[in-house]
Amino acid sequence: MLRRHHRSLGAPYALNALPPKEQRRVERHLAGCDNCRGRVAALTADTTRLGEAVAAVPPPELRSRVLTAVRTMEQERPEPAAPARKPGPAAGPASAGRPAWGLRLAVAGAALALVAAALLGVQLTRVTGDLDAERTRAQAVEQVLGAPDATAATTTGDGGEVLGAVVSRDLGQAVVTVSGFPAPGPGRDYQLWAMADRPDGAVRSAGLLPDDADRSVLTRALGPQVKYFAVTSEPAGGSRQPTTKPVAQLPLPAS
Amino acid sequence: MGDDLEGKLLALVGRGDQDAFEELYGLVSAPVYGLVRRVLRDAAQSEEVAQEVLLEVWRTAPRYDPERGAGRTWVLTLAHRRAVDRVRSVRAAREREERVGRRTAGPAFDEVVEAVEGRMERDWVRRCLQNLTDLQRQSVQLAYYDGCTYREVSQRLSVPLGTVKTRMRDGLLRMRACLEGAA
Ligand SMILES: [Zn+2]
Repeated sequence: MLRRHHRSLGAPYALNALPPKEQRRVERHLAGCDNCRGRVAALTADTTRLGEAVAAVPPPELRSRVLTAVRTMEQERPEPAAPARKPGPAAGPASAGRPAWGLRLAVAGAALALVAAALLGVQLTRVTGDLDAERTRAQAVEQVLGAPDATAATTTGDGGEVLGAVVSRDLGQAVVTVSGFPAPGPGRDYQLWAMADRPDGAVRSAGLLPDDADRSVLTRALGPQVKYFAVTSEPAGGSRQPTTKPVAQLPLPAS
Repeated sequence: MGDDLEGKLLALVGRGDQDAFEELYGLVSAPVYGLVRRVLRDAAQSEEVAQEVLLEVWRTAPRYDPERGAGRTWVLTLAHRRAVDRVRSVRAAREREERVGRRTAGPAFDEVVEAVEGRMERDWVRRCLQNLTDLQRQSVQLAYYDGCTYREVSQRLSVPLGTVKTRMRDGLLRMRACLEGAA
């Protein structure tokens, strides 16, 4: 079967009309057969004409949502991982919210929307600072909270510190909330970490928590490999790798 | 391929260029949204899926390979896949719920969304679709615009599987020849 060119499946494949199993079979074949690949590429280009023929202008809000999301969204690089990034604390947007959802992050979309509304209200009435940046951030928060796949998780540290996150794997974004953290102390900062797989797996700095770490909301790009957030206390300015035991550690919902 | 503007923009987007993405948005958002909406029919769901698609374009642009096809084709293929995935899962859920599940045939080609740009293109595609035999046209449309698998097309049209496959191919090739004549 694998040797066959599946000529009759080219058009159904280009029209995306094959059940998954046959689709995979065709894809395996295409990977090694230039001829078929060329033929299928031409058929796929034909289907594009069918798509263009039904073009319709999307609602204008879509544009702002998408362009806003993209500003902080990581891209997926092809396999060999991108060269090591400057690990320095990506100066996090200092943002104010309220510890609104300190109690408990609801998972339901409706509840999230309410939280978003509350946050937006708070952030938009802040007159100090750069209003545009504030607004952009508020939109980013709103978008994550409103994402259809958004799920929430929260954890409470030994001293009552709450680390919460609403995660949209589809958007590759997380809204991180922090509350109840004591002042970091002189010469110290709280640093947020994104970690792969296990708590002791690959670690990347996700920036310093702003000074009012008692009540912060941050939006963060989120690669699919990120499985945990953690907060540690670090020398002012942050560290390349965590140097102390996490104050709070939060496993993230998978999807 | 020299004039594959979307492809050139995708190459820039793949390097994280947000201005290029904004420009690309202007070029592809209407075909993406229109296609998704044609397949899903529901405006709210369509907006959601179109958003997912456009964000996926941003995320996966580093993987775009111009050797494999034009940028516009890459984007629309992605949009079509996502729309069809969604419509199939919705359909499966519905069929689980109500075993009856015989869907009414989709609205005719002209009834659905108002195309806004590329009116010429749309007119030509429609004209060329009219040139196909009924079986060719229905096979292509049920698959592409309604997200049916070729088995479902075969059931709906009560023709053998093999016939559906060849009608799909003949239909696309005939449409291509007609559009090339029109260009
Ligand atoms: Zn082959």
